[in-house]
Amino acid sequence: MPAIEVVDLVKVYETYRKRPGLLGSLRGLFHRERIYTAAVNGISFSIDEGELVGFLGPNGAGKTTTLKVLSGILYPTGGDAKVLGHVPARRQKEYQKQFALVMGQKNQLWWDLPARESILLNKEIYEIPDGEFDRILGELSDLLEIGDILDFPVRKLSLGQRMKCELVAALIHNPKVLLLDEPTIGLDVVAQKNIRDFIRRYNREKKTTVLLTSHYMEDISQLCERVIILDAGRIIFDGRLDELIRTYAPQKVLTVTFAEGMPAESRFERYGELIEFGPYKAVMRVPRERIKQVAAQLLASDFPVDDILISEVAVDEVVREIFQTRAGKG
Amino acid sequence: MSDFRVLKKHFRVWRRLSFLAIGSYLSSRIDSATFLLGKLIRFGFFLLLIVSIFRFTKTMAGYTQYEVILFYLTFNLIDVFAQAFFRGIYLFKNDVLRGNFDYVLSKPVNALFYSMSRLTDILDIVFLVPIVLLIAYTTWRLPAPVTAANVFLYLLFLCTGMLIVLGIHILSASVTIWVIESENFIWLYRETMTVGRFPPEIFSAPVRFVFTFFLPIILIVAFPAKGLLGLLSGPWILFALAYAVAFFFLCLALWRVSLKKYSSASS
Repeated sequence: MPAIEVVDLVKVYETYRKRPGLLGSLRGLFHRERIYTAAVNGISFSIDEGELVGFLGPNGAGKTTTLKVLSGILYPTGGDAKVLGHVPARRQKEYQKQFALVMGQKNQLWWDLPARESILLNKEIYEIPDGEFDRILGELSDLLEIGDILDFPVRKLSLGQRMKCELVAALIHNPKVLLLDEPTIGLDVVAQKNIRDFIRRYNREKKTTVLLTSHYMEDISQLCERVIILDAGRIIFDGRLDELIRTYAPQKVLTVTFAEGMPAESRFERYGELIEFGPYKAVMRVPRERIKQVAAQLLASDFPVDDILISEVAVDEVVREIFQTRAGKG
Repeated sequence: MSDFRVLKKHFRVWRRLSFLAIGSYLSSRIDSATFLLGKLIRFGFFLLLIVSIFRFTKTMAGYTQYEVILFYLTFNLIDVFAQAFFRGIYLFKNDVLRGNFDYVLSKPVNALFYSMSRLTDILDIVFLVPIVLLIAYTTWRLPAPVTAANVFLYLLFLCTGMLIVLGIHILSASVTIWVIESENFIWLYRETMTVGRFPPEIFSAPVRFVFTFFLPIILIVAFPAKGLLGLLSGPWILFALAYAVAFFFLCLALWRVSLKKYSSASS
């Protein structure tokens, strides 16, 4: 049985258009123009137990809305969503005890007090027995290497330390499903890596089902084998990362390093699409079916080739191109 | 889960929230001390005003000095009790706007209970002590003897008054979800409540009608005091009980509807 199952999910927001200026405000007292926006527009997917899936998409694509529906915060306008066999919108306590939500841009920790106090509050909310609480807290503290930062007021912690404490507070009840909404946002590269390492290890060791949204491609490419790409409330891709690259990147990247001298730029144009040309390096995009042939031709040529590297197009580039193409069509 | 277990769990959550609130207060000692001092000054001056008025008159709308003081103290008891235990509602708009209410909704705890009691005001609880002592003293100084039935009615109408106040706080939270820009609802209640500092008979009949049926401040504050003074008839007692229960459940129903409408703050 899948851990998460979503069928034709729709979520429409109702808002008002506010006219500018004093006159607009006065008009707004008597008449408001209602606007309906479909943040999620008929999406379907299912996620198996223990899977770690990345949700990708530009701002307003519907990623966070989907997460909020799955956590029971929002009522769906249409369609069905089930997590661990529960309908999230019913907000059943049995379900709420089995999942956790972490939002990088919001916090559940009490600002003026040590994080430990907020975690103790969650102990009461989730009715965790003393022994189990101590064990899980010890495990998480070790995994996240947080030492004694739980005893410092939250406002005194760095963003990275705070996110670690948020994760402890969210995971203290040992959830089966973890919904992460941009958990690395605003963090420096070291802190991002620490959080990523933790998520990977936690997923492997606990077999927790993880659904992750992030603006950082690095998060997705490092953690997720499968990605779901959303755009304007619809799924435009659902599959493995390597499949995404094969589907949307018909070319590979070929990097040639020269030992000496510099051949003329124009001499490379016949091999592929030149995307970078420096004193000792040329980078080009070459159709997959021609890549071996081009590499062989370069080696056999009179260019002072020192090294040749063939790689896939970077995932973020692929995704950027998908959205740029779609925006262009739109 | 059995009702007792649910109750026990929520008591433990409330206790923990109270510890957190006390911790927050203690981390800002000067702020807390000035807050308490301000409350005591406001309370003392109004009491002094009532005593001063009675230097020039023997009765106010037919009530003696200690009877008028009883209305004032009852108003304070209910007002301070609500502020002590439902203070979290004052932070609710901020929680909704910043999206932190999302976390509350995703946890296995009653969202309304959590939002209301998320800031138990320990300073107001402290303030309740002198109010209760003064009510006991005032009751002893009342011109007519107070029977056990009168005391029972006082306690009963304190409960129904609190039920209506609780309903108003729930209504305020519901309105905040529906119309996120509004935070003034709870302040409308606070300002209107001040009407209850005096016996309702000082107002004209139309004003009393409004404050009985539409903005039920008279039911909240005057009815307990009148119950203690033995001034309530049977039909009014039944009406007040029915009104309080109906009002509370109507507000609760509105809250449930508003939760379905909750649209959460954008990230």
